[in-house]
Amino acid sequence: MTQRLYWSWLIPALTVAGAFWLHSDALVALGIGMAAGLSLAGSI
Amino acid sequence: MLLPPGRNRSTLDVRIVEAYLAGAISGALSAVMTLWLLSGLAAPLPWAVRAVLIAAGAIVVWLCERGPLSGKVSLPQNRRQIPMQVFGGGLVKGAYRFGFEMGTGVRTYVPSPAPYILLLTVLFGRLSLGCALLAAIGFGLGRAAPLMLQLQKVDRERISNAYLRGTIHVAPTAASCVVLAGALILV
Repeated sequence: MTQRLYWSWLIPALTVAGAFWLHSDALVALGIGMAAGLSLAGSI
Repeated sequence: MLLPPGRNRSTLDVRIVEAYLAGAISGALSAVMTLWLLSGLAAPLPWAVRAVLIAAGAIVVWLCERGPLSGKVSLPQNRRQIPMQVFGGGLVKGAYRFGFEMGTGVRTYVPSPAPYILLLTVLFGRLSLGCALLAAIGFGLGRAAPLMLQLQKVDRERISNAYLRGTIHVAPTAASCVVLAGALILV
């Protein structure tokens, strides 16, 4: 269950890192949006 | 709570989650597009200045939210719960409206620095329209993720507790670092 704690930032972090590696600004944008949205996930 | 307790989900539950997701993405799109239009004012600034503004802003935001200035300097946010009146037209419509308000990021509490850093990124990052749209869609997806997870056959209480713990401790700072890193890639 503790692993779920990291979903909220690890998945976006991997998305941003992968996007950087792929030189994809679009994926970076999606990743940072996800990171910001997931960081508020506890409030629902 | 948008979904009733229990592990067996009905078609109505799925429609509620779909409506909430659509609302969250719509709300995020409306907020980000407003900021993106305003970002034209910062477009003449050289990239180095814009990068410094984002990084310095991110540090200030973190200090105010999680650092020594926490509790002394409060960042702009709407310190209230979203009113129950949004559910006046039925559960599915209400879920859309509720999601919309959550998606805008300005209609309720913001207990993390990351959305402010995303705001700075859209304002000063000189993002293309496509990137701004994708950032908004990502925000809406992230905002709706906990509810989407509840459609799975898992213990919702354990998920909520995990997210709440994550919100209080490591996750907001880590998420802020991710947003800042991404912003500096995009700028």
